Order: sequence, then C-alpha cells, then structure tokens
Amino acid sequence: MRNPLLNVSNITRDFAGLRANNGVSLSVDAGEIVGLIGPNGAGKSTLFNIIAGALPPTSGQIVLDGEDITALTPPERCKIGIARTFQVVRSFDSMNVVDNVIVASLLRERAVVEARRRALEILEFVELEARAETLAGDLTSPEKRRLELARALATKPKLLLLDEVMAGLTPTEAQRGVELVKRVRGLGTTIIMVEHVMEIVMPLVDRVIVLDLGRVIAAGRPTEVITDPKVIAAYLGDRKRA
Amino acid sequence: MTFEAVLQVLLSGLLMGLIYALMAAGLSLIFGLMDVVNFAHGEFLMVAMYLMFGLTLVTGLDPLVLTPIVVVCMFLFGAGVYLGIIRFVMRAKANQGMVQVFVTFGLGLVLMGLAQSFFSPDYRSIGDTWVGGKSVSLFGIYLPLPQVVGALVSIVAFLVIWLAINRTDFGKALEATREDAGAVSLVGIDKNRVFALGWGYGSALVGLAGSIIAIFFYIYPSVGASFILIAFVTVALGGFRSVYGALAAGIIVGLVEASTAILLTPALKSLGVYAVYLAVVVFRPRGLFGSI
Amino acid sequence: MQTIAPGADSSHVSKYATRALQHRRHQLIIVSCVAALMACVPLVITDIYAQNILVLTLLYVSLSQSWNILGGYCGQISLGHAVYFGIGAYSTVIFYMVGGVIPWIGMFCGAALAGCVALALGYFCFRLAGHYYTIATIVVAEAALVLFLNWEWAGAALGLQVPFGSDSWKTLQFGRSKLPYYYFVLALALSTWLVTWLIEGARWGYWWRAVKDDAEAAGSLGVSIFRSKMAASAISAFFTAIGGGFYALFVSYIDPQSVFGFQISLLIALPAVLGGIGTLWGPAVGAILLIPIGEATRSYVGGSGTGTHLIVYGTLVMIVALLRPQGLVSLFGPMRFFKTQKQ
Repeated sequence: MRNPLLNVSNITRDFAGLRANNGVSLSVDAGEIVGLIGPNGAGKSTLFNIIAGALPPTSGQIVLDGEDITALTPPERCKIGIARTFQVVRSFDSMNVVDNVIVASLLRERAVVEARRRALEILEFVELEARAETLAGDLTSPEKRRLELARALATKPKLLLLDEVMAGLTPTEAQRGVELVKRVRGLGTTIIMVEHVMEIVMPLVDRVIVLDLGRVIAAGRPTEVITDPKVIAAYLGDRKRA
Repeated sequence: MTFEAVLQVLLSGLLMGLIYALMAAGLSLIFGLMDVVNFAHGEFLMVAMYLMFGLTLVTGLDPLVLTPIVVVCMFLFGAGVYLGIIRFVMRAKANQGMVQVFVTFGLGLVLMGLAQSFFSPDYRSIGDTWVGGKSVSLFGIYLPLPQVVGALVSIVAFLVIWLAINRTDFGKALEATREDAGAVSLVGIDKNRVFALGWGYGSALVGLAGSIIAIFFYIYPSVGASFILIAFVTVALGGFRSVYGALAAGIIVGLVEASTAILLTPALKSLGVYAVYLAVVVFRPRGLFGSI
Repeated sequence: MQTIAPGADSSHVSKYATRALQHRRHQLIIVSCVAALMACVPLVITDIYAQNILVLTLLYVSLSQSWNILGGYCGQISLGHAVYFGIGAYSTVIFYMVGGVIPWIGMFCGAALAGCVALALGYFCFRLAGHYYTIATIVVAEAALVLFLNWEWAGAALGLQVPFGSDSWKTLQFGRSKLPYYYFVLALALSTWLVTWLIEGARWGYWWRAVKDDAEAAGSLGVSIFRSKMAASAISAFFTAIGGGFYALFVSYIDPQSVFGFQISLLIALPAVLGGIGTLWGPAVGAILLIPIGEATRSYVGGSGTGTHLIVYGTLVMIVALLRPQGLVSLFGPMRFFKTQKQ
C-alpha cells in the first residue's frame, strides 16, 4: 500500500459562529489529479487555504510526505513543496513576466542567471514565452492565469493547489488549460484543483472529493460521484440550509 | 504633591484630551469612510486658525461668535479639496497608498507655504476675547476657561456625530459607503457626493477644533505640524476607523501628556504620549477600538 | 523529480538572457560616465556658493538612494529617516569629541548603531500595515528629537560644535576648500548607487520588489517577507547614518532640530518619490531637481520669510504623485538605459 503524499486529518475551522470545515479528512496520492468540488458555501476555499497555509485550522492535522506541516507558514510550505495559485490573480505588476517568474524560481536556484534561465524555460512550458518582456499588469486574463501557474511551477512543487483556474474561460482557452494541467501532471506533480466548471473538471481528474456544508459527502471516481444521490441533492438544493 | 495639584493636572489633561479628540475626529471620519489618511490634516487646522484670526481682525467679533462661520467655511474647503484633488487620488490603480500619502502631504506643504507667504512666519494671537486668559474655579481648582469651553464643545460635537451617524440618512449612507463603496452606486448613492460630504464634515470638525484652539494658542504657519502628530497618535491609538475610539484615545492622550509633564518635565511631555502610542501599536496594532 | 526540459526554441531563452545582462552592463557604463563627469564639475564651477549646493545635492542623492532601498523596494514608506541621519551625525561627533575616534571610524560606528536601531524598530513595526507604519516612523523620529533636545550631555538644544583643527583627510576637516567634501560625498553617492545596482541584480532585489507589489503573493512563493524588510531596513539605515556623519563634518555644527527634524525626513523621501520610487536613477533625478530649486527659492526669493520653496515642493510632489506616480524617470521611456530592469 502506497503512502499518500498528502494526509488531511479531521480538519475543523470555525469562524465567529460559523463552522466552515467540520472534521474534513482526505488523502491524496502522489501523481494524482484530485478535484475538490461542492456547492457555494461548502467550505472549499477554507479547506484550500488551510492546506496552503494561509489559514490555520481550529483543529486537525495536515501531513505531507510523512511530515506534520500543520504549523508551517505559507513561505515554509512553499519551501517543502506546496505551491498555490490565487483565485483572483495576484501578479507583481511593477515587474515584467519573466521577473515575476524569477521571483519564484529563486527559491530553488541560487544564482539569478540560473533562475532566469529556468524562468524562461517554464514560460515556454506554459506557452507564455512570447510575452516574456511584457509588464505583468498588461497581460490578458487567461495569460495572467498561465503566469500564476508558471510562478507556482517555478518553485518545483510536489503538490500544486489550483484555485478555480478554469473559471471564466472560453471553450478554446479551457481546452488549452486542460492540456496544460495534464502536462503539469506529466512532470510528476500532484494536483488538487478547486473547481466549479464541471464539464471541464470531471474528464480531467482522477478522483473527486465533494464538500457540502463543511463536510466531505462523497469521494471517488468522477463517474461514481456524479451519480451519487447525496451529491445530486447537494447541488440541487434538496436539503435544509441553516 | 497635594491632592488638589494632582487633580488639577488630571483635569487639565482631560480638557486638552477632549480637544485633541475633536481635532482627531475629522481624521478618523475621513479614513473610516474612504481609507484615505489626510496627511495635511495639521494644515487644515492651521487654515482654520488663520481663518479665525483673520475674521476677528476684520469683524472685531469674538471667536465664539465667529466659530459657526469658520466651521461652515472649513466644510466647504474640505469638500472642495476632495472634489478638486482627492477625487483623482481614488482613481490611482497602482501604489494607491503611496499616492495618497504624498498627494495629501504635498497639499499640506503648499498650504504651509501659502500661509508663510501671506502671513509671514510670525507668531500671532487673538487678543481680548470673552474667554481668553480667564479661568473658572471648580471645587477650588482653577481651570483655564478656553479649555473648559473647548472640552464642552467637543462633548457636544461627539453627541451630534453619534446622532448623525445613527439617526440620519446621511449617516447610514456613510456607513454603507464605508462597507462597500463599489456597491453603493448600485443602490443610487452617489459615491462622490458621500465622499465630498465626508471630507466636508471631517474638515468642519477640524475647523471647530481650530476655532477654539485659536483662542488660547499661538497661530503660526507650522502650528499644524505641532498638533498633527498628536492627532495621528490619537487616531492610531483609538483605531483608525473608530470615531468614538478617537474620543477615548484623545482623553487618554491628554491625561498621559499632562501626567508626563508633571512626573518628568514639561519639555518631555510628548515623550510619554509617544511611548504609550508605540506600546499600543506593538501589542495591539489595530488600536484600542479599531477593526482592521 | 520533475524536470522541465529546455524547449526546442532555447535560442529565444538565451537571447533574452544575454539582453538582460547587457542591460546591466550598460547601466554600469552610464554611471561611470556620469561619475567621471561629476568629478570634473568642481574644477569648472568654482563659486563657493554653487559648490555648496553641489555638495548638498549629492548628499541628498545618497540619502534618498538609501531611503529608496526600503521605501522603493520593500514598499515601507518611512517618513522618519531623520532618526538614522541624526544618529549618524551625533555618533560621529560624540565619538570624536569624547573618544578622539577619527570620524571615519565614528561614521562607521554610527552607521552600525543606526542599523541596529533599524532592526529593533523593524521587529516591532513591520507588522503594522501601511499608514500605521509610516506614522510610527514619524513618531520615532520626533521622539528622538525631543530626547536629544533635552539631553544635556549631548548638548541639548544648543547642539555640538565640532572642534576646529587643521585641514586633514584623517579628521575630514577642510577649512578653505569644499573640494574634498565634494569628492567624499560623490563617492558616497556612487556607493549607494552601486549597492542599489547590486541589490537589483541579486535575489534580494527580486524578492523585495515582489514584497512591495504583493506581500502575500510573495509569501506564497517562498519569500520571507519579514527577513526581506529587516535586511532592507538595516542597509537603508546604515547608509543614511553615514550621510549624517558626513553632514556633521561638513557643517561643523549640529543641533537636534537640524539633524532629527521632520524637514530632514521629508527631504530624504521626496527625491525618491519625485524621481521614481523603486527605480535605480529615480532618487538621483529627484534630488538634482529638488535640492537646487529649494536652495534657490529659499535664498533668492526673499529669504526664508516666504514659503515659496514649500509651495514649490508641495506642488511638484502633488503633480508627480497624481499624474506620474512611477516618477519622472518613467518619462525617459524610449531611452531604455534610464530605466531599471524593464520598468
């Protein structure tokens, strides 16, 4: 039995009066693409941010590759191999595209020269090399998403957390996005994607984890989960909300 | 140190504190409304004081009588500054914080320069007023009358603010705009109008403070710089968004200042305030009542 | 683990890399030419008063460049840098007067002290967001001013007079000519430029600019925000203090108001704002513009009685901040040499 790469145990997160995550447990194997889905307010963002280190859990544990990382800050998590993208793209607008990626690749390369070379390679990988010298703020929206991805990849992550990267894309752009995610997995990176756009996510991921009202209500292959009556009920609103 | 002496010190500190609170309230109002710190706030105070000085010279009336006029003028001044200058700061996309700091700063420098050019750096004072130079006796303790008047004015002003925010439509619009400036336009509230009024009222409060201070304090071009730090400390201590925080913090600042003057020496009185301020921001960065 | 193989079109990669390195080299060539030019200037301009303005201008170039290391690269706007200036000034003079320590060492000690103060302040104040931080810096400088005004041993309000001696490079005292001072401060300005240039090309430069643009995003990419700010702050304070030490020797007399006063903090920050925060040439451009204008309006237009220089400074700052917050250097768009890396 393989040891999972990521083990999330019994994560609970309370905000004033609201329990956003309630005893959430899941595990992800190395090399998997896992989709994290659920209706609005399910607690996906909260869980995502807890795994990324941006939010501390009220209780529970996160273990990466056998190490307990629950107390680590985002920079520390990045160093041990967890990278994330932001839902609303946060680029370094005073710098150009290459420099944006260099900031990230400097985590793994000592010399700026090496970091720059790697950055340019990564830009080619995400098909953004033509815009290398453009100011980050001047990119189009899909290009910004690819920049986010490039930056995250530059930190050589074991685990990549993608936050709604497919939202608002045209079908062509979405198709390119799917190809890109597959290529990233091809590098050996494990991926967790929070998504809303079902048609894109379901064919892409190996496994799906469904959250609703702070709990995991289903987990398994996309084909299984999609026919699960609990999941259907959650999305169609056939239950009482507080 | 007799009981009466201590009481005198504390009461004087309390009075000045209330006046500091009034001075800081406008700053707090503007920041709470639109996230802009007016680094020219001290110069607004100076403008109000010179305005009062000029009016007393021209009309020969007492400052207390002229106060409403100064307040109204400062209201218009503040609204004008917003519409003419600050409105464009809000449009800046990048580095908004930095733009804000330096635009308001530059404005302060210009105002100071104008005052120095028109009035010269000489210290002025308003002579012969109804309350100036007199004291009132309270349980055997002598308190300077102008400061007593100032403190009372301040208390009334805060009451009015409380009423305005909780009871009037404008108050509600203020709160709404504060919460979500983008959304309010969707419900028909003109964001620019609210902001202009906010600057107007904030400046009116400073005008009120300046009118009283002009009775007992010297008037000179850099007088704003002398008071601005107290105002900032008061606002930061109370929490940048909380107007009531400014009230509590002002009183604390006044008391600390007065106590330091007695415990150490008057020359070092501001050190006590600075020390308290630094201690608070280290242990409670958002101030005593602040929300962010 | 994983490797991203170099694409077939790696010529594009190396082309860009070469261009970037060339750009860096060009900047060095430019500064060498500028330095050579500046070295010749006092041989041409011999009027004492003009030389005085030159020295002051170059002093503020180095001060503002130092400020820029914190304000421009880490985004922490300090309006209290006078505290480091004053520490440098007083340390240099006091070590000399009390301990007989030659100013070169005194300046260095003062700078080291300023660096430590910066680290201590940073430790407590970097958690403060934006405006809170700026106000805290103002408070600290004011507190230093009040302290020194009342510190009898350090001269209190009367200040300290640097003891007169014969002209000597050892004590950095020159009674008759301004030239040695000029060359010293030119070297200082060049040093601060060089430090900035080195930072820009190094990891710190990238990280600090990232922190300035979006601290949280930088953190998620592994950048230690706190350590970046601390390092930037210490370096900034160090060079500011050396400037203070130089100033003390240049004018031979210091008092609290003239070295800890708010006007110093302002004059240190304004050139960077005007010229371009976070750029390599911005502070220099800003200082060359502001300082001579300030001196001219102060002296020619009716003395310090009028507030003309204030109006001029204020208006310039407002215009630049509103219309061109990236600073005046961004106007030299087509001339790539004058920009920082792809600004």
